[in-house]
Amino acid sequence: MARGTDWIFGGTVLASVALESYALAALVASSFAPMRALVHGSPVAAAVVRGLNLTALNAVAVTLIILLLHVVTAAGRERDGADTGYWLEHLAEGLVGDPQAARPRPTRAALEAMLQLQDTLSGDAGERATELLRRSGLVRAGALSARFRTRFSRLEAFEILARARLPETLPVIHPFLADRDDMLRFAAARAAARVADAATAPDLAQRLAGTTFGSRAWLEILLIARAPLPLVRTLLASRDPAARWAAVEAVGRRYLLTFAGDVAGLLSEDDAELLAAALRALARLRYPPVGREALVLAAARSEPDFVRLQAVRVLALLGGEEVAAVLWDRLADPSFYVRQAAARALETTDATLLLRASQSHPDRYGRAMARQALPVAHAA
Amino acid sequence: MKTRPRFPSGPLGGGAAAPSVLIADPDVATRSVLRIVLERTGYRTRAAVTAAEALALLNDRPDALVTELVFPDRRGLELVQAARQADPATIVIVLSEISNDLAVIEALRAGAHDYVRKPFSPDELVARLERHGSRD
Repeated sequence: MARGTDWIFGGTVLASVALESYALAALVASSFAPMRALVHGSPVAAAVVRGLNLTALNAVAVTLIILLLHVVTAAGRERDGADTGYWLEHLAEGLVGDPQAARPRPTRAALEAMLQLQDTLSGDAGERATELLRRSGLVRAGALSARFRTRFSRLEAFEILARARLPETLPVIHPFLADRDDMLRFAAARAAARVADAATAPDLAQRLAGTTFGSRAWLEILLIARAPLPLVRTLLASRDPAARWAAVEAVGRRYLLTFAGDVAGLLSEDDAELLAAALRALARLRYPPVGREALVLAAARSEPDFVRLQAVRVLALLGGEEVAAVLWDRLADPSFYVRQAAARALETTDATLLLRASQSHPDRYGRAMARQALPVAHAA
Repeated sequence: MKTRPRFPSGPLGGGAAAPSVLIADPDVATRSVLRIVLERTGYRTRAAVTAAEALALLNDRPDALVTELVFPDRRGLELVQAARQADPATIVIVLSEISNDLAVIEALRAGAHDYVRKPFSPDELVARLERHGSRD
């Protein structure tokens, strides 16, 4: 239903357009007064007037159609919301109250309600929601639309399947993991990653091993994966630099400590992006790469600056004289961020040296940065 | 200041007035589930979609508030603080999609009695509410 204010708005727009149209017609007519005198009473004058009238009527008609579309769309949205609300109440009653109540019908609103409840509930009620979704057959219907319909409905079906998270629907998605359409392939991979559980994730990892994506696309897939370990393991061993970078980044972002040793093994990499990702992951995991300190120290003196920055952050996890000496040097780094990281690393590894740096570091920017990083008590 | 209410452990047997719970959550599914499970357990419920609406309903002095931290209009933490200031006896449970430790710490510091992460088990939430409500 459209609200009262919608009708007022629509009426105002309509009246404005109509008035503008006729005002324009009057303006045209008056501007061509000499011509009108020439053609007065002739068929030409009548044709001009008819043309102006027709133009004004067209403008009004187009406005009416747009307003009607607006009202119909708003009413449809409201009806969908009300249907989903009804099913939410009905199904929630069944899931946490009377089990007999939970009998969904195969409608879009009922499916939406089931998916929302599955997202909301955990524990026994969550399991009942999943079971309800499984028994409803609605996901199977979504799966069928993925096979036969247009690109848009396939993308929509992947989204539904991903939200439902039912591993038995994976065979529907699998064929699209090798699709030539990049968007479909990516959507399928995202959906499969969200659906695959611990039991089905190894198979998915194998299927995705031969697929090509950009590094950011891989990272997104890994960050949303329900059971990421098999895929991360596969991609860490990949020859594709984009896939390896994403796997290393995901190790840090998802705190996958299992792979800390593998990531530490990448510290001898020549690829600066990969090396920086490995150092960043170790810093996030707070995993000191014991036995590879020399590589971190070398990275802290290398180019480009984003590698030095990540290396200095890892140095904060290590200790010792050599580390302190490198951090002292990095206080004079041309990059503000490296200087800042060096001061913070000194704060955790050697607060006395940080205090000394704040007073007597030869580089004035280094001294200033050390002063800023000093704990309040020291600074006073 | 009123005394802390005795919360029911299971459906109310009649007699005492049922404790009231204000549900403040923009998510319709959460509101539906909470309303059904709490009313079945013996609570009276009222629901608010926005924080502003919830703030207004706090004037009715509910016995408990179950609130999200994320609202379209303002931070749920303000609601937690307002509920505790309005009536220190009000039990406040945060039920939020935010799962990081900082949010939990902030909510508890603001006066929340408990923090439950979404997705949630309705039975567990009711048990927590009863535990906090039954403490003297």
